[in-house]
Amino acid sequence: MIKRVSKFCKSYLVIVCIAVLLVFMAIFYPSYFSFSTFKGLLIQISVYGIVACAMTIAIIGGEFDLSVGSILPFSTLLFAYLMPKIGIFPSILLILIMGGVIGAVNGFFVSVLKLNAFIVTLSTMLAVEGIMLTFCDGMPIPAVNKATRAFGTGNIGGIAYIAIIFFIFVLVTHFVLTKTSFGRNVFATGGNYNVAEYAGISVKKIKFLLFVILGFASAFAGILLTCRLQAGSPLYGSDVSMSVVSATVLGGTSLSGGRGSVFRTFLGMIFIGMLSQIFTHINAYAYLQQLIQGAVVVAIVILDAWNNRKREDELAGI
Amino acid sequence: MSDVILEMKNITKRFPGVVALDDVSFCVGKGEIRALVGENGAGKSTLMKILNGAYSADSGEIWMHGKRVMNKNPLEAQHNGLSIIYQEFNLVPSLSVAENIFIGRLKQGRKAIDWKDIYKKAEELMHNLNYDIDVRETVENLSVAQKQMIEITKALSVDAKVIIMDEPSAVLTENELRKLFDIVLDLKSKGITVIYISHRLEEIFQICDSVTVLRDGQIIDTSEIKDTTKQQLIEKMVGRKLEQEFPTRNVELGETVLKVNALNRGNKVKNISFELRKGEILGLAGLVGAGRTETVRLLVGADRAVSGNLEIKGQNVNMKSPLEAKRSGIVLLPEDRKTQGLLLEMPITQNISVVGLEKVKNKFRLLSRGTEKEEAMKYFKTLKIKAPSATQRVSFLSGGNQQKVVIAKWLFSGADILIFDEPTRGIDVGAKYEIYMVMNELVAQGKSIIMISSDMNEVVAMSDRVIVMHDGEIRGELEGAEINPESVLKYAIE
Repeated sequence: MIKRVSKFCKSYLVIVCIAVLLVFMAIFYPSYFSFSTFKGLLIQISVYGIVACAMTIAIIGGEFDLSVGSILPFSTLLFAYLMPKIGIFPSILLILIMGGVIGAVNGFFVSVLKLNAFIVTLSTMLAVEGIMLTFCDGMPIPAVNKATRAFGTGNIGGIAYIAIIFFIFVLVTHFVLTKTSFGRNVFATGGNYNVAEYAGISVKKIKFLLFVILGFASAFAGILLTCRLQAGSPLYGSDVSMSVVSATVLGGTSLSGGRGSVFRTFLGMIFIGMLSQIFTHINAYAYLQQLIQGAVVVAIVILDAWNNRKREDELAGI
Repeated sequence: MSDVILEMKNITKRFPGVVALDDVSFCVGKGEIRALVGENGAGKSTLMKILNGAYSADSGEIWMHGKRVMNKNPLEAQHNGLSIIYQEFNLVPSLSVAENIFIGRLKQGRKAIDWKDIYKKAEELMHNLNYDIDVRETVENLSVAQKQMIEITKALSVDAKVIIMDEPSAVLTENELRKLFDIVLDLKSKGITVIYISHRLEEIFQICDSVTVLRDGQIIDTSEIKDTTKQQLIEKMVGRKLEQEFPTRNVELGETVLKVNALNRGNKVKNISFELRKGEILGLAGLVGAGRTETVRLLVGADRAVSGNLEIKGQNVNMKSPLEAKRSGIVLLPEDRKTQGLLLEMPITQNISVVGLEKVKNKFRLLSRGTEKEEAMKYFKTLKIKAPSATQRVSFLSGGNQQKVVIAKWLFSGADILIFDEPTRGIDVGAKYEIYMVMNELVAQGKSIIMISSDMNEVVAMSDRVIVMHDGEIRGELEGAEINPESVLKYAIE
């Protein structure tokens, strides 16, 4: 029994972490436990969560994308700018295409030209940021619209529409990863590129699609964020890449590829969301908050690596 | 025996659920060449790791030169005069020979590195050993045999008294092997003890003084090499009598299924033409670097040929990608299973279905784990795969069973022409026989096999026909009674 519990803790470290946070709050700040904090948590993680779903697919496929950190704010600005001019749906369509195109550029460089994803997406991130800042001159653009506002702030039974969309994304991602050949091929490509290629998988196509999906998801997340915040800004969501990559890794999806699940990422998002919510709740100094957040993420990743190494040692010994 | 240099007394090491070493006592003399043999999982690597301090024993003692030593880590083991040369070498490819030899000891005190001195010292060491390697050369430009020499030089530069060699011959070809033998004998003449771990028993009889057999964590026997035979050793290793090393087969050869016409790619593959018949095992022999792997990569579209073409069952095919090769029914089982053949983190079922996801879909066009498992179970029976379940992760399987999973995968794809690149490398004696049985079974069913192998006995015993390559060209073709080690070697080294 004890063995099973410890095995569970090792493989679902993130659940243990969430439990620790809950116990801490239960003891020191019982006022934290209320339906409104719960609702707040969901709203807080939903927009980034959508990007996290796509990032999970990409990381399982052995890739990684920093450019989401500028695609997202750029799409908030574009949406705020375009909506009054050409209408809601045409602008949504245009923005999704924009996201897909940037993703395709990343995908082309990484899969066809075989460049390192870190460098490629760092460059696209900077390039898109440059375009974005030129476009808005560094200033936010208001996006006042009744319909988008109603959507961005509305809810069913207290659960925000945006959160519901996030849940749907999680389920669809899970379905794609486990039930379709695309999903399986992503696992195979991330698990071992050579083996996947020998097995006759179109590995280049798979890698390319990973980035296109990420581009779409970040553009879509940007649209939702604009609805919620009634504005577009170059600062909205600029920290998304770090958040979603840490959520994915915290959840237990391996950065080396080939392993992971979107439910794990969901839990990782919950943890990161809770952490920042708690900081607000206990009025922690904002910069200190960042420091602690970083430290917690590093600690968990170290623990995870340590667990992995121990497992490998045991394997090697036997 | 001369003076004892290394003695292990009653070493026991447990891992969760397994006793890896059970009260092992082991003793070697100065200047002795001792073979250490045993199947995979017998405890050889655990024994080594305890010797060099990577693991600590649960109980027992290690004595060197009559003194008790505690090797807490590999560095300490080195100080005590014990070095290990691993199969995959501990060299930094991008650094020079001299830097590799003195790595970790380059800087003396506060002074900057004296490169002249380092090169001079390295040259002296090389000279003493009669090795002819430029110490300024970058290691990645060197051959495997030369890298081995560097490892040995490195070991001797820290004054090693005992050198453990882990499968030193696995990556060598016949003539590199002779060099290795010379080196080992030279070490012996200098009074250095060599513990020689190998799966290839022929070598042991050629070079070792004595042999220790390890099985299931226990020492089964230690004997002088002249008092034992290969057959006896194998029986001790597997714990039962083995009838023969290679199974016999009797397969009628059918029509030509593959015709290769003048393939070219750079200077690795020059004007290669041959034919393969239904039910045939065609051996592809030659030294490492002769262009064998490069040739078969062209056959499966992993690389593109500059000129030449393929005919499969009379149809002209242009191999552009492994996907096309799979569709034409020609597949490659790469030499390195772990990095090129298997998705180690994934279960057996998914490793098999990866080549034909279409065949495990249900009526909604979605993957069905049930069908996947049924398909996998078929191969459990026909290939005798031993695993607790079909959903077991392949990283937990033994080398032999991993190889069977790779075979199952390609059978599932419906391939008729299978190219085995070093099919039994790193697989222990008992499992080798089973792989040979599977190969015989496959050709009996009308499949055809091209087998690349550096194991001479394997080539000679298993092939219907042998093509020998050298320097990217076919140098000779042997059939029937012409196939013998001497003639294969003659063409291979020229």
